[in-house]
Amino acid sequence: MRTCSLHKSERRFGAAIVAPATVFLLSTFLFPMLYMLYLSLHRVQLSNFRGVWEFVGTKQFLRVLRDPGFWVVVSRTLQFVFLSVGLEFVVGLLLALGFYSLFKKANFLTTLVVIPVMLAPLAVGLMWRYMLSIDHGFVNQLLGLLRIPSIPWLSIEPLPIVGNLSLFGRQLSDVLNLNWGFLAVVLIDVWQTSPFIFLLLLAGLRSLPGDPLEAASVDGASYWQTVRHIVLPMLRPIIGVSLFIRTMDSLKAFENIWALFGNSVVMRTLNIQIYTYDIQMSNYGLGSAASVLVLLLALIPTCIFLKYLEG
Amino acid sequence: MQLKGKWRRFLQLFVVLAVLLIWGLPLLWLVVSSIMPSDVFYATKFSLNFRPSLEHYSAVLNKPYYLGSVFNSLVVATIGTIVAVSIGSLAAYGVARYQVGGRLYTLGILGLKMVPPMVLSIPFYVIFAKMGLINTRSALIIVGAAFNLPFVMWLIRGFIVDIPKELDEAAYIDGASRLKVMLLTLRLVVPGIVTAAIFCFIFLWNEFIFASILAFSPAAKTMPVALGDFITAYSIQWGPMLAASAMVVLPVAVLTLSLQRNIISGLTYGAVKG
Repeated sequence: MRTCSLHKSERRFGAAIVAPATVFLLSTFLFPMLYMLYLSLHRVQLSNFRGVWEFVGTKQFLRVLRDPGFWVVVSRTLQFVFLSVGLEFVVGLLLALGFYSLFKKANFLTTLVVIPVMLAPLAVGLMWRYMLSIDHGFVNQLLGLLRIPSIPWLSIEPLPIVGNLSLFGRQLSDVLNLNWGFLAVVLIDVWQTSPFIFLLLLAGLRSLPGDPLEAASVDGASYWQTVRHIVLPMLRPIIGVSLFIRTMDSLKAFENIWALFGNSVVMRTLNIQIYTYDIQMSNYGLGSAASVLVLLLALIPTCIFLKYLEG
Repeated sequence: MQLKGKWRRFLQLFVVLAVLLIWGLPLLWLVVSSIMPSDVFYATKFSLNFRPSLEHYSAVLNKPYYLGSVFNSLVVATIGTIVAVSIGSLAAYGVARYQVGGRLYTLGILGLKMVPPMVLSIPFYVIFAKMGLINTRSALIIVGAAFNLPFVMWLIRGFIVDIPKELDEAAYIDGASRLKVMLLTLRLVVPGIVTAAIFCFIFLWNEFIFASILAFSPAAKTMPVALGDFITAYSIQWGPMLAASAMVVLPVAVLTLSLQRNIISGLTYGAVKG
């Protein structure tokens, strides 16, 4: 009897301290999500915002899904995610291996590399917009010192690899975003966030037991053999986590692209598309339909990862 | 797995130079160009032969409402952080010690961290418009605290789980109440709470998406939104734009350098522990 009542008061105390956060999260996540679903099924625009919202069923979803422009945006977003996360992983891994194998401690240097991770993506985007400007931007000035001609970074000029193809060059660069502007978007993202992967992998490397690595090098394994067959397999969990976090973050990307190209159709990703429906077109119903679709897209990697955490 | 031999020195030098060139130089250049006087700044040939001038900064600060946006940013970031960290640490303790909601709750928090902010911008806009909260700091504080709460709870929960339960039991045997034990534990994880607060503050300071959609009137803007105005202007005034960027970026860079231990532990915490 006593233990039972104790148990009850214990549970009550736990519930009481979790309650404020729970209520807050439910009203700021669950309620807006349900409301978004409601909006997506109704015609809600600036013109009838204060009036009656007519029920239109799945009409707005179909409008989004039938818009060829939407699919271009989806493919560009996926390309941005895979390309930037892939490059970030390569850069982050090389940096982590370099720091781990060359320096005992490099606190200042490590922190210097990490600074960009903490900065506002909008300000970073604007900074690079200035540095990459074609005529006398800093990057082109530096390239000029090496006698490399100016590069039209922030344009949709095709990259040389496809630009030189006379037949399908233009089409290839349009479909696969093989232009300088898209490359700049990806590289700026890599500049800002590969330090995050670097930091996680460095922490992972430092937490590895030293013995197997020493043993391998005594056995005469080369540096790259040790990395490939021993270090990378041991780092697998942390590589998984860092790739997942970065994938989800790059699905959220908006400001850095916005800072470089604003609302321009040629660089739109899903978040900018939603912004366009919402702010530029003031079509809240249509924007909600697109938002529901993007949320479903973000759900796929999240479920995979939560499954992986469970298993 | 240290690299040895004659290549070591060479490679060390290479890595240091590459890091300084790729990550250090652009940030340094941002600061340097923001203090260039206009005639050097807008000249086609660049030179480093100039007297530092704060003219771009004063141009930004003299813009109408700009000082107000600094104030808005500070208020939103400070109050948002206090809200998120206070209800977040209580909840983190409940989740860690009383297993409220079980594993599902913990996974749910992780799931919420993944929601792209832009997705919820429209429902928030419509809800706040109905409530008459568009162009208020309250709207930004509510949404900002909400979007940081999952991270805050996740981080502090991790710190609490690391503290052995035997400490609680010893305190209970001494006759301490639940509330007392909770406060005792929370005092032990103050470093974790501070880390969570630093991140929360920086995220809110940087926040642009909600701020630009929910508070866009001249008087309600935060600094990033005021900075965003440079993009849509007819022609970009590069000098003031760089000064405005520097004013958003530099406080965070200084904070990162001076609080490096908190920043690095906060960034790596969840991932390394799994």
